[in-house]
Amino acid sequence: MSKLLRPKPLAIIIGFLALLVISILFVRVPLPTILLPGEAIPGLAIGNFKITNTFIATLIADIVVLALAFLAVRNMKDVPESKLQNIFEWIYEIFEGMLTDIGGKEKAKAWVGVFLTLLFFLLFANWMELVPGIDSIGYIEPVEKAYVEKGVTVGYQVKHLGPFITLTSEQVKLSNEEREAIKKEAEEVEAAGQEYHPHEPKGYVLTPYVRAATTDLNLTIGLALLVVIWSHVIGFRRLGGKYARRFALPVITGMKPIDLFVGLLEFISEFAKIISLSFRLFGNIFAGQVLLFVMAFLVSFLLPLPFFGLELFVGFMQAFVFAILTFIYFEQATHSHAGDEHH
Amino acid sequence: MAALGLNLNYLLSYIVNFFLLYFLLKKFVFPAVSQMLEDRKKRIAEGLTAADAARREAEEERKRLMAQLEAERAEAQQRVAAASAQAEKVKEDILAQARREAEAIKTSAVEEAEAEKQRILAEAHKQIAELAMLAAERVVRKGLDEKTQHQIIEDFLSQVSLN
Repeated sequence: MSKLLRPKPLAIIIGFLALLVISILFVRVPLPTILLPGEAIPGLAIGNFKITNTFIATLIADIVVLALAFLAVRNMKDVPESKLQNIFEWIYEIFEGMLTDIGGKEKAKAWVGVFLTLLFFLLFANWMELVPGIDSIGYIEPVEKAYVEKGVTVGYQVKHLGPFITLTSEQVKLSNEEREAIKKEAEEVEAAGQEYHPHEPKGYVLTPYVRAATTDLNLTIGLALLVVIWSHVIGFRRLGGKYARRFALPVITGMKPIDLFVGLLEFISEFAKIISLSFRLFGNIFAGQVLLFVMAFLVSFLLPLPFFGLELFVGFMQAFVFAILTFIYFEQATHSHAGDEHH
Repeated sequence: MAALGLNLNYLLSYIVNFFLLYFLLKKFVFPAVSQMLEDRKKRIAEGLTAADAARREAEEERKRLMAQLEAERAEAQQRVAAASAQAEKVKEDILAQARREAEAIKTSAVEEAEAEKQRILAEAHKQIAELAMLAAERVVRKGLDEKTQHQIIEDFLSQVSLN
């Protein structure tokens, strides 16, 4: 206690408290619009393919991973001179060792690449939610348009700061009548073949240019589908026809009711794998992002800090869990069903 | 599905994206790292083996040298011992010789002295006899009275003792 009463710590504590008070009383930030789908960025499209902010984040994660990986292996030395090479080798060895413990040397060697690619990619995709400003730099559009396109009903007043436009914390809510009117107007405009633009927007909505890629279900479900199908491919390639037995058990053993049930469970569990992989990742990171939004919304300084730490951990943990489960699924696919051969 | 934002195009694009990433890393990055680790492991193993061999060799060399040193030391000791024994013997010999010589000298001296004594005694006997003969001659020649006889003997004896 006496340590805290010395001038320096005391000043720091008082500074913190002052910051807290200031942030609670004076600095308010708007709550970002929370939408489930990745948001397409207007004007950014390849043909019919609208580029979403989660897609941009994916590309950034790709670039970061590739850049780090290539920097690490560029000019490799037997006695490492670059720290990056050291770290990369260290990571490689740790996880290869871990996979060897789980599935043996041969399988670890075969799939450590998939494991590490998933780990690195998801790690940076997840951690992108932590980059300061990522949720507050974006394009601003009228709340009416956002309502028509995405169902957003809450906008904010804007303020012009030189060449920039910023949202204030003044909320604008669309009432039910207004919504009806906007819907009607938009339908009419679109029926005439034009794009809907409100004349006098009541409020504005900000959509970030970049949003953590794993907050998009398309990515998580896509990856989950990919790795589960991949595991089946591995199963077939390693076990051949034997692999099919686990699903076709009823047919082979003469349709005993219990076998039918087992085969059905086996089948369902494959879908459960996809669902659990994808929604675990998506749910954790999406919830983390919302948590960070809300904390910054409640108290803009200090309070979000511990949650950044938490999300750092969650981001790593989820990436690791996805990658290790993928490896385990791959590994399981190489086992023929217990006891089948001796029947 | 639309509410969740699910869209087949996006889904496929993410899968393709991941495949590309995997392909690039698998092609250019992981083999390099794995190769490097493998090589380093091999080289370290080789180095350790070599170091082990070198150490064993050095140990053997050391043992050999130690044995050699020990042998040389023992030999030197032996030589020193032998030398000192020899010296002792020489000393003893010299002493014995000296003693013997001294003894001989002493003995010969004693013998010589004895011989001299005998010789002198013999000489003395002879001289005494001669003198006695001489004195007797004189006595006989003069025919002396008893008083003169005594005087002559007296003189003779004093002469003798003076001699």
